[in-house]
Amino acid sequence: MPSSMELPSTPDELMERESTSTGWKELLRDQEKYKNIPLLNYTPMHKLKDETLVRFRGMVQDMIDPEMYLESYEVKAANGSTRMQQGKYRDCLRLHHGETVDYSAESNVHSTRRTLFVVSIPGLNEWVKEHEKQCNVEPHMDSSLTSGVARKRAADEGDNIEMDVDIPSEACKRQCTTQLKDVSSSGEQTAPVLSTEYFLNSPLPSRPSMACMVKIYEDFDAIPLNTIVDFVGFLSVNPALDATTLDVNNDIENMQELQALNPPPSIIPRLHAFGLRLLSHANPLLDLSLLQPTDIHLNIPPKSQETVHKEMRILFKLCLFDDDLAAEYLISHLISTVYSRAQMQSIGKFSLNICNLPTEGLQEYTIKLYKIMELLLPASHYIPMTLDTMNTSAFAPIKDYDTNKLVSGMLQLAPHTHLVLDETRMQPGKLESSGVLGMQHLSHLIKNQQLKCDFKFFHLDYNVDIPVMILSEGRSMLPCDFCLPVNADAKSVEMFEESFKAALHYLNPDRLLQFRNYLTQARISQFNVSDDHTTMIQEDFVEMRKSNAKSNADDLHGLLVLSRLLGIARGKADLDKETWQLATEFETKRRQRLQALPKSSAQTHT
Amino acid sequence: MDVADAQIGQLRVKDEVGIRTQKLFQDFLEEFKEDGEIKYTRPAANLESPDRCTLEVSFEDVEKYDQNLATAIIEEYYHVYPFLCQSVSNYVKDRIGLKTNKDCYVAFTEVPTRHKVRDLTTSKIGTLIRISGQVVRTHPVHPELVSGTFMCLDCQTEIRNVEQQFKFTNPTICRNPVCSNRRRFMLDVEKSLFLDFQKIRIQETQAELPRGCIPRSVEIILRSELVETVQAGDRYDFTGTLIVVPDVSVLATPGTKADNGSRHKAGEGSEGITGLKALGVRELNYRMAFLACSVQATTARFGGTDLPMSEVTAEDMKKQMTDAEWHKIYEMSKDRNLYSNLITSLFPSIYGNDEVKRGILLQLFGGVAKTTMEKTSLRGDINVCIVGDPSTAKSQFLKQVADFSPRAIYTSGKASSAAGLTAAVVRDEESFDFVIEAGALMLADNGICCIDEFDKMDQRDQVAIHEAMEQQTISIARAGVRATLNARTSILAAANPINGRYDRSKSLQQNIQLSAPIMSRFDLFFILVDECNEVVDYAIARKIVDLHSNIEESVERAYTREEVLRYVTFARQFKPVIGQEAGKILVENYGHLRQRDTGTAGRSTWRITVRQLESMIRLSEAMAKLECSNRVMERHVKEAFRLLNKSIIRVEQPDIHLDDDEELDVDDGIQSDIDMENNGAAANTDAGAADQSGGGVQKKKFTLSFEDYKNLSTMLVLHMRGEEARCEVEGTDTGMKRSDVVTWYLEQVAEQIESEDELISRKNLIEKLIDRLIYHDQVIIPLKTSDLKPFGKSPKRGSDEDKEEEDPLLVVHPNYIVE
Repeated sequence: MPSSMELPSTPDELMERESTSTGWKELLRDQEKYKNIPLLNYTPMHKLKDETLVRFRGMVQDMIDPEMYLESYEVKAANGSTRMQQGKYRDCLRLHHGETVDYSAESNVHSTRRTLFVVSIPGLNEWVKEHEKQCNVEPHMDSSLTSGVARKRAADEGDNIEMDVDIPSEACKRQCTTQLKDVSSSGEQTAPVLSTEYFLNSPLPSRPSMACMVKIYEDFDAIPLNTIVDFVGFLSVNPALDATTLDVNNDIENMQELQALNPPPSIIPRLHAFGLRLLSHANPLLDLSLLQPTDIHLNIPPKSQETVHKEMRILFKLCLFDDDLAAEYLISHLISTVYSRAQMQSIGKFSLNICNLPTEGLQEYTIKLYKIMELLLPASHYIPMTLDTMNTSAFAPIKDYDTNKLVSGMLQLAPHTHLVLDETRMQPGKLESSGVLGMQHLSHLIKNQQLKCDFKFFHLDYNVDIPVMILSEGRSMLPCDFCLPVNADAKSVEMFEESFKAALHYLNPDRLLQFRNYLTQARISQFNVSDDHTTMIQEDFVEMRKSNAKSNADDLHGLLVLSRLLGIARGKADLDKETWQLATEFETKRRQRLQALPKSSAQTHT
Repeated sequence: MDVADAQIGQLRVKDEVGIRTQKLFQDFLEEFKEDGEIKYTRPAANLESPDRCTLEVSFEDVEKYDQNLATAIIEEYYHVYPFLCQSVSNYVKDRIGLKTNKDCYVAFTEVPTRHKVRDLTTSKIGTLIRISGQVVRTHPVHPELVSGTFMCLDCQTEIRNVEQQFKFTNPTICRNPVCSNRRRFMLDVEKSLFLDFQKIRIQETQAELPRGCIPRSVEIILRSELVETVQAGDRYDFTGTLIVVPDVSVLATPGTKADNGSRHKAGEGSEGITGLKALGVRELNYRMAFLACSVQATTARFGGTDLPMSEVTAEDMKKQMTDAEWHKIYEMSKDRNLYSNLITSLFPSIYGNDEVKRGILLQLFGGVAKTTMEKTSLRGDINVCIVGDPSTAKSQFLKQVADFSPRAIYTSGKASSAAGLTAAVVRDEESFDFVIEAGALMLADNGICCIDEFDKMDQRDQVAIHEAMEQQTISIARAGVRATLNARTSILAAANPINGRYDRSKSLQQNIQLSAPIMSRFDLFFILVDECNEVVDYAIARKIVDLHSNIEESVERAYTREEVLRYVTFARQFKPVIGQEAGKILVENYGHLRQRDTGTAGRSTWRITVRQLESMIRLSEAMAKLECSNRVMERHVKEAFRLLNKSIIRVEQPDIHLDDDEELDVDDGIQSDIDMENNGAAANTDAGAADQSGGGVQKKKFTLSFEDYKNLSTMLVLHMRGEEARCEVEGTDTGMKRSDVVTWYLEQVAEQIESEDELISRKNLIEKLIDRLIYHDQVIIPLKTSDLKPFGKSPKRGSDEDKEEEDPLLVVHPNYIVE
């Protein structure tokens, strides 16, 4: 919908639009204009001036209490004349020299806005960052603007705004909370008491995200925690927003909180949003709101889903010791999503435990496998389940009442961020209470696709959609929907390094692109079960129960999920008999393999 | 400088509204009477003591006295507050004749409308409201300067009564007309007025939180007598008003701010596009805080059971509801099918299991807690336990209840937090003091504690839960801390049978790993057996497929969850009394239960005791509550009895088909290790039991109910044992022949046999029974002297001659235990 109107470039312009017409929001739907707004994520701060129009893409990590602001206020000039000034979409007062604000003026309008703490999508893989960077439109550099506040500030502080901030952090430890406690008692008022890591609050400390405080003016409760959103609004980086340099001589006890909520804008910029888009996935290749570089997409012959699926199976067979069944399950896992939540159940989750991995060269193997996945998935994270990781890392977010912030944890991830747990790294030893807690959080996540946040006095569950895959030698100690022992013959084990080389070779740029698109598209596609097939499923279930009294409703859940994913993987939109039988066959095979496992405990039938 | 200041500023001008309110309020204090006495005389007199200065006034009284005054106070609270305090001061002064001028304050309680933290918007600023929330942080108490006395550093003039509002304010200019000092003042601490001041933070409760949002919080300012009255973690109601306090930068004095600004903007020459100079002042931000004038612990409103100390009546509840809500509740209470409608509305996704649903529903309503004359308290909470095979929706029940009920907690018996289920004593990391950490049972105080895997509970917890379930308290005596804590929860437990599957041939007690005392504390026991039943399987499959295809609820709900919840909360407030007829039936039914318990060898899982009578009473009361009735009626008791009955003998044993071998093989229920329970054993030889069972036998098919089968076999076994013992003593015969046993039995039942047909059928029956005992249950061993011809696996033996041929000696298996 091309429009002659341009997007507002300053808050004042926007305010004017708001007051004159109602249809101006339509402008935001105009893809072409939208695409050309620079992304804050990839634009160096010194290139952006205060109050420019920018976009920020990220995950809502925390929600801060609403704040009051003066929507419009009266300004008194030195000569006694007054005028009204608008305060929306801004943090700072706008005054001419010698002017003062009349706080008690009758015509002042107070309003509330809410701040969302948004972090760039945690666990975003390199290729996505690269691609998004290419999509970004750098703002025109106007030489008269370069002397702006932002630039000066940013230059002073060093360029630590960009994504690849190299903050030294020991593995995944999060020690900020303890740090800040020591400092606060020392009585030094001006010293910044909170560390940069604490401000940034990245869910994955080893892969820090960029953070931005987004102020929204409407629908305060419309965006749930952990969703990924593309915000459009005006940047606000005025250094006066920084509370760490503030001389506060009478409110020391609030110092931490003030600082936490008013971090230096050079570290965490503010964005006054007037528009937003909820993103259903983080794959930039399929995102229409991004200005795609022209060189891709053109030279690739379109292939059917089925063909891509076949090729992908070849790839994963190479990676999984030539095990076709495992490849099928892995693909199903990669395209799984929680598509419905009903009565405390998350339907569609497909947590996978690939076990029975050969012991030789295991360390390299798991990492190599993850590397392949990393190339295909927009966002993923690998957690080696060593005792040390379990005992020392923060898994679930914890509310810190001293600063009134939700301190993030490793499991606070955006939907469809794949989590790969490497249980082969586990060694016998002592799991401390924090480790036990971590295990509980993990199993809660796997079982319910919910993240338990610790609010000290109570826990709250937030819905998440994080597919979990566990790699282990024996059965995993975590509960999984599907446990699949890999069939690895001695020859393929020996050859695995060569296989990976072949796999990487197989992944030429075209295929890579196809696979990436395929996985995202499959994940968001719909699938139906017709009435005829419902009857067939029912009959099958009754038969199943007759032949094996031990089979239960969970088995049916599993079959339904699997058949859905197998169908989608093959590019089907409806369930057919063939797919259903395939699922049954796969499940039978899997069960047989499970029974063949040496110490397979009979009690737990997955 | 903000709104608040603006109003203070206006004080100096003659304020007509204020003065009129002051007068009206003083009149109210002087005139308002309750029970013929002027209500506020006495409380005012109490203010004489130096540490008291707040008069508590019930807002309801004000409303009764003068609606206009009440409205004025509500709407202009912040504005008129100083005037109200002034009238209190005047009133107190008049009453007790204070010599010195004492500032007194007013605190309102029982303000009708209650708001959620999330509802606090700018429109509420300055009005008198009540909010509730959980305290999450408390700051230390410190003195707040209320009005300062300053000394001008230039001319030494004293400037008195400089109003201070949430921040330190210097006088704007020296009082001395010749001195033009605007900056240099010194506070004279001696002559200034300070008040205790404490900041706390409250957070909205889980129940009010929209899904997927972070709880919102608001800062609360407590002053003078209110400081240190709250504890972190507890829930309180705060009455007061929302005010606006300037954020950050204004806290800094103007001078320092200027310095700050210059430091940041050193060298900044250019200005923005508009030509406005960005001063770097961010005074656009304010924070809302709540200035509280009174604090009360939150009473159970929606969800929890009523606390004994704070009685909430149905009337109170009605007041809190909107008309539409009230109308719906009224409608529901008139619904004829309310019972079943509530069930389907509550558990739409769980197929069947209606009895369990009914039990849980009644648990939500609960019985009536009572205190006897001897001050023993009798619990009103109903405890329910669900035992069953894996994947029989046990956890579904628990989770749904936990999800639905606002004060319910879902936990696993294996929960491994330090606090576990009950409570733990832990050492505080900072202070090294011992503190008590609440466990799930305490957290669910006045709610429902859903415990999954109840049987796998920690030993320590098992002991504690004993106490919690009957006495509703938890005692801790560890690490030098001794405390008794309240745990008034209903328990909804789920347990797995010992071997993963419920073994029908065994008693409930043998099937789950729970001690009898704990079991007896459950009012209702439900057993879910995973049966292969085509109809059920079809239905389950359908439900699951629907769930997967995202089809919205195939069963339509009569009511929404919120409606049910509101109704339950409302109906809970009733305290039904047992009527005479109902009482009679209770006695009668208890008699029945008790008799059957001793009279038969039923597979009842425990002895029927007074506990079951109490359960029956509680269940009847819950039924009455469900109908919003103030009286327990006959029909309530009947339903309670029915449920209890279902729950006590709910394991339906399959009938024994004596002549159908195939059936026997499939049905692996009855095995050799049939143990009897002690209570049943004594009564088993009773001919009466056999008598009843005789009637129950279907002649053609030789089918016995499991109970009858049990009775008969025990009777035989006991008799044979007796004979064996006798023979041993006498040293004569080694035992009984098969025919002897049959004859003996027939003699036993001789008096009931009237016709020849009956005699034959009885004979056949006992023959079959013996066969079964020999070949299937292997309780009786046939001894054959001569040929050791092996028996085929339970060969068909239908004819009489066949048995005549072999009349072996029968002995009871030595390892068989009859208790």
